[in-house]
Amino acid sequence: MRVPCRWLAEYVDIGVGEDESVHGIERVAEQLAERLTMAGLEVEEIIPTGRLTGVVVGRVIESRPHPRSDHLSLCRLDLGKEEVEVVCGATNVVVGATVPVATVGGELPNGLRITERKLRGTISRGMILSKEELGLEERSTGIWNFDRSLDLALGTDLASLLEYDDIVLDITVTSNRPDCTGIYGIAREAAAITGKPLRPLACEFDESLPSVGESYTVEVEDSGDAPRYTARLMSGITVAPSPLWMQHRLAKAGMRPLSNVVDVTNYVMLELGRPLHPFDADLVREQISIRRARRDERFQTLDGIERSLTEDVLMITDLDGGLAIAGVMGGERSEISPQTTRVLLEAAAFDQAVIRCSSRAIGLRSEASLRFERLIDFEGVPRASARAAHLLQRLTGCRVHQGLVDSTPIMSPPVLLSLSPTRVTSLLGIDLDRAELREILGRLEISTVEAGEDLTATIPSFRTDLVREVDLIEEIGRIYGYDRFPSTPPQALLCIGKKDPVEICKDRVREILTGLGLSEVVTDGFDKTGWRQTLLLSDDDLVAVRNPMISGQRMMRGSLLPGILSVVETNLNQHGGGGMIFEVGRVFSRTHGEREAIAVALFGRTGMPLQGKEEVDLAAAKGILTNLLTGLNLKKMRIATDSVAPFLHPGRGGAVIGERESLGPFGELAQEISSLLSAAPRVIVFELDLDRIRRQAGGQPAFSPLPRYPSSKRDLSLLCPLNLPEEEIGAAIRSEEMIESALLYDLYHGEQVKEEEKSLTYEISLRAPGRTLTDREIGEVIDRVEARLKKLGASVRS
Amino acid sequence: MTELMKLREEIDRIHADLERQCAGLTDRAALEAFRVEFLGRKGQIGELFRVMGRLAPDERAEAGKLLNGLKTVATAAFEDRRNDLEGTTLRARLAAEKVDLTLPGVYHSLGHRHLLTQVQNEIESIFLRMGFDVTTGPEIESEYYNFEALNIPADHPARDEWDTFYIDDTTLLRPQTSPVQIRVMEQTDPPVRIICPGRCYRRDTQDATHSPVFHQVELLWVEEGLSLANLKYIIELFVHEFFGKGYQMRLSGDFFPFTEPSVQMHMRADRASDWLELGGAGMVHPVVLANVGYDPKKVTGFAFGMGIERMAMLRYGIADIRTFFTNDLRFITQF
Repeated sequence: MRVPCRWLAEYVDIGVGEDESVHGIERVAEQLAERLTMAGLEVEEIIPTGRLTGVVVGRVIESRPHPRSDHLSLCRLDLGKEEVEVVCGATNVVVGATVPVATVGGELPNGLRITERKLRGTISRGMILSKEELGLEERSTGIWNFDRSLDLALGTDLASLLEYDDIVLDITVTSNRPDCTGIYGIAREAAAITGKPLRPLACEFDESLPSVGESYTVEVEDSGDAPRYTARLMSGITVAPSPLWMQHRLAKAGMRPLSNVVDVTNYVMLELGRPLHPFDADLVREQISIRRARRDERFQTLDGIERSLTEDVLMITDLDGGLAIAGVMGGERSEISPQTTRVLLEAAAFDQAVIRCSSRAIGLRSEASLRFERLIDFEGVPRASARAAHLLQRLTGCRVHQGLVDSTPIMSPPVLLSLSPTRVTSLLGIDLDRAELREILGRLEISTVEAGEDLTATIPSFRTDLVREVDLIEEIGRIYGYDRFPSTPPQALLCIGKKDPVEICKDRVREILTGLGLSEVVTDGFDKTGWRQTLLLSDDDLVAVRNPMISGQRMMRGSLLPGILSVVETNLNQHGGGGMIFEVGRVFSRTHGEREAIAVALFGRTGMPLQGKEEVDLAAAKGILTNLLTGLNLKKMRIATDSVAPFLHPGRGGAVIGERESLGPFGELAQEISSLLSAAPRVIVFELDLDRIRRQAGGQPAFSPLPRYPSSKRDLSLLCPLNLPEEEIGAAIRSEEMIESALLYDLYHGEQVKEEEKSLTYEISLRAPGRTLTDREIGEVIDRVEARLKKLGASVRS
Repeated sequence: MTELMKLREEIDRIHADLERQCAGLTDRAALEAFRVEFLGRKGQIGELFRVMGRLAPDERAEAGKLLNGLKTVATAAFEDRRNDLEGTTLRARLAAEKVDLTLPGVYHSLGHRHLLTQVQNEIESIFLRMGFDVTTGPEIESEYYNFEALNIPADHPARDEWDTFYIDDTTLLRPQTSPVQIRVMEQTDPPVRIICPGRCYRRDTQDATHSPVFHQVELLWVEEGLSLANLKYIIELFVHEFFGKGYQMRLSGDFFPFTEPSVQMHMRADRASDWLELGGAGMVHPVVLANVGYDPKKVTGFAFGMGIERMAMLRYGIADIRTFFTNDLRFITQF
């Protein structure tokens, strides 16, 4: 909401006098903006209108073509006290018209200073201005020829008429404060904050013509749709431009001035936040009816567009059909035109939800609909109507018919709220006495009376947001000033903060993986469809988003792998090389809901010093996997290679199996996939289901006493078939109770070993709990191991 | 010439001889040969002891003294030489073993937690130390928890302020972490002291300050007797711990359907002129308390929410929120 300060100053003394200097008003505006922001009316921007000096009303007394130009003209202008000659480039110069003239030495809002200029050999002592240059419209096509009705005396200084040297505050009004979508509402706030009185809004006018009720009646089909509908009739209107001050106030507030009738309704909307609608009364046929549109009813709005309506749309109609889409936009048929002499002025309250639906159904949001969507004050209706009648009578001298056609003339009783001063103190933590409370509320036009321990507050109808005691407490805090609040330590018992175990587990994952040299990435949670399809992962079980903005938001991720590969891709494209990354986060599926997952990707060169240009390898990846799962307290882990995910190298991939369940895929990315990446590096990935890991993980470790007897070490060198998995060999060795550990410390395949064989060397450590093992005992254990190994096809190397 | 005199001469000769030879010894083998030659049982000095028997008894004492003297000299010469030789060898070996310690180590560099995680962890740690639990909730949330229970009924104009992704008519991607408050309060009796960090989604077009995915931390404290002045104290503690002592904070009015009064939190460095918004806060709305079965007459509470990205951007001077989600390792490894 754009609030011009000089307009605001009409209702409340904010320290801006008529002759205030620019500097003065800037300072005032900044202080006011600060106070309003503190009170919850956040001023987003402070916009100076710029200066306007030396611009006066002049009359064109002569215009002739410039002797040395085919598009310029020389105009002689009467400025009242003097005459000047200027060169003008506009084509709409009319001899006899009054125009705004910038004289030498003057300054325009855009900063332009007017000097004597020589244009093609002729001296120009000033400039005829357009509306654009005066800030009244976005783009002008010619100079501004003042309408005769404006009746401006020659030589009049335009700066004061246009209220220049102004500051506009751009204020964000929160959705609970429809009363502040009008400048008078802002003025009420400013008055409450500063303690200055709020000046009353002039609403009086003469009602000299017979009652409007003799000409019109109103019928509301469903009072739920339109709780209050009023119409007022005015005659003897001459449609003409509004006075300059009103035009510029509208422009500063962001609306385009049109004509006095329309401008007055807009002006009152900007003052009171309540949209009004004027109909040309001669084009409205009795009687007015408010009803839902029929399906496929067609209606031409005043922007010239023919719209197809639905039953969601609320209509204002007469005997000839639609007059307006209630609360959204009027119709072309009954629009105000230069010929209009009688105006039927609508002031109404519509149901917020109905206006929202209406405006959505036809895809049209207007200044009016935006306000009606929040507005529920029924009592403010006649006041807005009266204010508009007052202004129209003042501007046009029109005559007003008596009374209002009013669908709901009965006033509902005001809302009363009980307020406990003790609660104010306890909820806000500030000490205010009863008198102070009542004074603050009084400044907001909330009157209070004593009611025993409590106070009873009468809520004005425009404060539809105040429905509970706590709402009043907020008002007190706001107006008292949050910046004056103390910060008080709470009196509370000590307690221990505990962290969610899943979050602790995720922290542990990060701790382990960063310790192993991996860095964490965070991707956005949506399905990376391209990479998912490349990995041949199905979308069957993915959760779809109903209203994505872009195609990258159509589904939620079901796996972290597509996302992490997109990060691999980005990094390879940005700087090549390689890296080790991981992500911990939620994945989503229709059948399993939300689960926590871990994904790891190692790609390209290791980047380790002194290791050549070596790429990451599977052994390192398996080491990371083993460390991670051990660190997460998983006692058992193996990789099953009987089924390999299709995106993995068939000989270098498998599934990680924990204590019971599969935890996810592990392996080297198939070459046809990694070759899609820049420089086709080796990429090793794995993904783990963190929820399953947590289910299978052991609890708090149990202490086992340190052994008191020494262990014995034996080396065991084996020759075995190349394709015999180490897992089976290791298991055969470790199956002996006395074998405490077996470290595979060498693996060899090459010269001196047959092509189809490999050599493995283990250091075996043997121990018995209660004694030192004898050589004989050790020999027996080794013999049993050898026998078991022999069955697997492995023989001991001598 | 008496036997003794002969012996003296012999001793002198051997003495000179062994000193000459000893000085020329350069390796272990020669050293051993020297030992055998002079100090061995059949060595030159040992042979001389045998001469003792041929001496007159009165000469024997003196001869013994002389011979022992020679033996001592020879042994000392041998020991000295041996020590010399071994020291030289050791020095040579150590010199050969020298390693260039300016070479880089062989290692994977330590990995880095993503900056968003670091900031989230730090915020969690601050509030854990103050006695707040860290809790989480689903990212795919029901309309009830996200709106109704938080005093935002259907058709409430404030719903527009959360431009929300929907899964179906009643399920959505949470645009805020506030629904976790409701879930926790439904399960727990007061007092409740929690923070809820997590990921949120909004239909915002991505630009330097908006991201359709972002992270929030929400705080909730419900207990008897809490006031807005207490809320200010907690926020101040946080600002001073997270940003540093040289910051001030203040509150200003605002509106949220689930708090009343509602405020906006701002902070600025002591010497700066502009206030920066930190996030929204307020006293929990009585309707919200009643929705979870609490008695708003008995307990009060406060809540605030702030963006983790925003906290990181303020602290590290990062201007573009998209930086967090590009995941360029050159960014991640800076922190």
